[in-house]
Amino acid sequence: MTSRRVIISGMGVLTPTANNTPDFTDALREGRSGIQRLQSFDVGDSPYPNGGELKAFDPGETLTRLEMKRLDRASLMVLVATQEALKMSQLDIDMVDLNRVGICLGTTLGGMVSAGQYYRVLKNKHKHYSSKLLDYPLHSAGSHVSVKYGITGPNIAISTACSSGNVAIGYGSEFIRSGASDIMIVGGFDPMSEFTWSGFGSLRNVSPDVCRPFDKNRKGLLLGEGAGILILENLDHCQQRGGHVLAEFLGYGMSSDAYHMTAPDIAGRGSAQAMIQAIHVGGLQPTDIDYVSAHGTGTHYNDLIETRAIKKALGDHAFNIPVSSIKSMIGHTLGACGAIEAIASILSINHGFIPPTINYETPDPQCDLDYVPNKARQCNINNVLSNNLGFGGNNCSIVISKFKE
Amino acid sequence: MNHRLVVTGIGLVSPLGHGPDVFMENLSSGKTGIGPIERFSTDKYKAKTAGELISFDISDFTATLKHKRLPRISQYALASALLAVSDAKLKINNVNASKIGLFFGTWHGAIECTEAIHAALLEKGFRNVEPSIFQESSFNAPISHISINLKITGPSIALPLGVASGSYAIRMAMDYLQTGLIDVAVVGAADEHTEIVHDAFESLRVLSQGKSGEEVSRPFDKNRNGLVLSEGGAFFVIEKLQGAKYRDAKIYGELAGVSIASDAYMATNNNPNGRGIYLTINQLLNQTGISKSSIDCILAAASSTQNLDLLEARGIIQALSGYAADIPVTSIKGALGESGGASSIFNVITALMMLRTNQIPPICNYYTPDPEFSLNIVSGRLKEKRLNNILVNDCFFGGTYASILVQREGVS
Repeated sequence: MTSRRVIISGMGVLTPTANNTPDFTDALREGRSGIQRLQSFDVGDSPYPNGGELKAFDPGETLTRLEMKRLDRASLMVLVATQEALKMSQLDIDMVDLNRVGICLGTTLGGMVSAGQYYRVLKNKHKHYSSKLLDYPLHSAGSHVSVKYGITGPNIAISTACSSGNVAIGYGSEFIRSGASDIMIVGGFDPMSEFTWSGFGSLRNVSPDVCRPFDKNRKGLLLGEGAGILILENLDHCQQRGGHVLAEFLGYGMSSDAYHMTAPDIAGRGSAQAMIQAIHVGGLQPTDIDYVSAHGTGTHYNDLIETRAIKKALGDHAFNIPVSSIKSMIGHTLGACGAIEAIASILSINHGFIPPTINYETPDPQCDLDYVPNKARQCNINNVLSNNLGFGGNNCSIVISKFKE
Repeated sequence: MNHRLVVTGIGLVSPLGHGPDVFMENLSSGKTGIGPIERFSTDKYKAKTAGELISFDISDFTATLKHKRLPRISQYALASALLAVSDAKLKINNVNASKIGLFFGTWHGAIECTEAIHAALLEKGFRNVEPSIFQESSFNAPISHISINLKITGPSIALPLGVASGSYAIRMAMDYLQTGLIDVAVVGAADEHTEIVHDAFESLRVLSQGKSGEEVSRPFDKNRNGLVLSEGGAFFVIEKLQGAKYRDAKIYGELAGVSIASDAYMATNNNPNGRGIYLTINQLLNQTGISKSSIDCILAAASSTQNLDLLEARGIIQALSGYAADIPVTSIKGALGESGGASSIFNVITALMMLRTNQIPPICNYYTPDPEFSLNIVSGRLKEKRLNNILVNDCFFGGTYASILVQREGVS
């Protein structure tokens, strides 16, 4: 029995540095930063005023007024990114069996922005702005995609904090491997919100200025917002319809730290377990990995632990390959990060460059890998390991490859 | 790979009692878990009842003091997961921990924490957001606690899919058991009932209005007029049949399949023609290979709303055609109310317990048939019937559906 191969035939992206995939390619190559003082809400005199928001995002450019009615920002992002992804895949959605198409998206917030508006009106005006609740559920963005395209396969929402995006991609791929679906629209999304901004601020692991993953003087993460959508497809199905293959999804691994709610396991065992499993399930050896797209949030602990875990998973080979974090440029997009980083990985493979870790000034002796400081690097890469680490929760790593027949 | 998957341990905390035996006894004897709301004043609400867990004390389930400070949803999840794992006599150690997965469904998540953060932002500003409350507000926080407590290092995944969450968590667990990523799955769901949800649902006009518990939640009844919300937690342990036999574990029954689908109708509504349930039942029959005539009973999703109960009835009739008129149909939500994510798990647990008793509990508060559809509703008293195959349905607002086949082990 031949195993079904899962490939990516389309991508759509919204990030703090680009509103579509071609612009995102340029932004990654240039090392462009999307970080500035937050505008979506008043940050006042907060010590953490910065983050990554979408620029000039105009859903009206791609969606009709009727489609946009009563939709939360999160759903708007998902619909716009999905439209780009489907267009790129050249899939004629009317010609496929819609029972065999499904949706699997990761998010931490869903329509939390609208829920916050509901709450304000409730407390300030004692009125129920109930329509604001209709797009709050975390699976709602996926429902909109399902309705727009007539998709009657599964619509699944995943919420595992920072690993939501990778888990959604991974679980989505299972529907294709098992033969249940031919196409899965997968990825993740999260809007900028005062809710998460204040929450992470309270944890005191937010940077006061820029995000410097792996740098000795790193001060913490910066939040970002965005959406990443990938069209996963059964290879045979794609080739039979004359579609093109952007890259192959080889596999993924997951683990739980099971250690402590607030204190991370500094040996990085859980994170390493997820990476090792991803490589193994992908049918590769650690030495086949050419580039690691790190979770690299810029917090003291993440970057330290991830470095240890990468060494555990790849052995000495960790010192031979580039490891970079695009969160340095776009911030931590939470539920979206796995998907956006997967897309960046595919762009790296297909355009032959490694995106840099920007804002890197001072090496940390405890983080001694090659983090591709500040400037993108031309490089022919075949296999990328992309990590999502989740303290106290679920880690998920994925492996994406250049497509070979 | 098609492994046979069985349930080997059950745990729950509910308004109908804690633990599956007490739950089943109360359900079968027609008791209700719904009563006047005690947690907050209902003076300004028309809907005054809910299924609350007032007599729940986490220290009955875990000796760890800090668990007392957890949000209720995490307490319900932790208590029921611990009960389930203990019931399964599952020993977790360094050797098997990475091959055990945790799958969790929830509708609202830690809604009290979420509200507290919004309140802090509105009333006092961002500096007053509490870090511990923020950490507990994430949808996977309840299973972080479970994985830490039980030292489970396999995947731990939360699926926020409303009322259907539990079914989707079961489906995910079964998918990973089939691929061999895990050998054992601890699957469950939990939700907490709060005033802000009650208030919001009343403003959306989906709650039933009446004074006493007996009058208000009446699945399929002609005069049904809305939901009664409730809360709780429920978990069970699923593993491969050969693994269960090797461990000499107690086997409650088999999960023969879970089918999931969407109706692609409206994100804020469900297709009234019942297409969603029609799809899931049909797919389930194909998936499991069982015939329509083999279905002995249907445990409906019906939760006492005009539109969802009707569309489910239509879907059942379309999918099962000639057999639909004869297969006994019941719903536990008359007695339990709508407990959100946990409802699917409570339903599957009920089905598993029914395999032992061969008795179908009647729908609580069902008096008047709805002329819009003709189903064989079990009402009034327990119905005795040899049960081998029980179909369990799930449907959620916005077009999300699931159907599950619970089977007596050894029949297929």
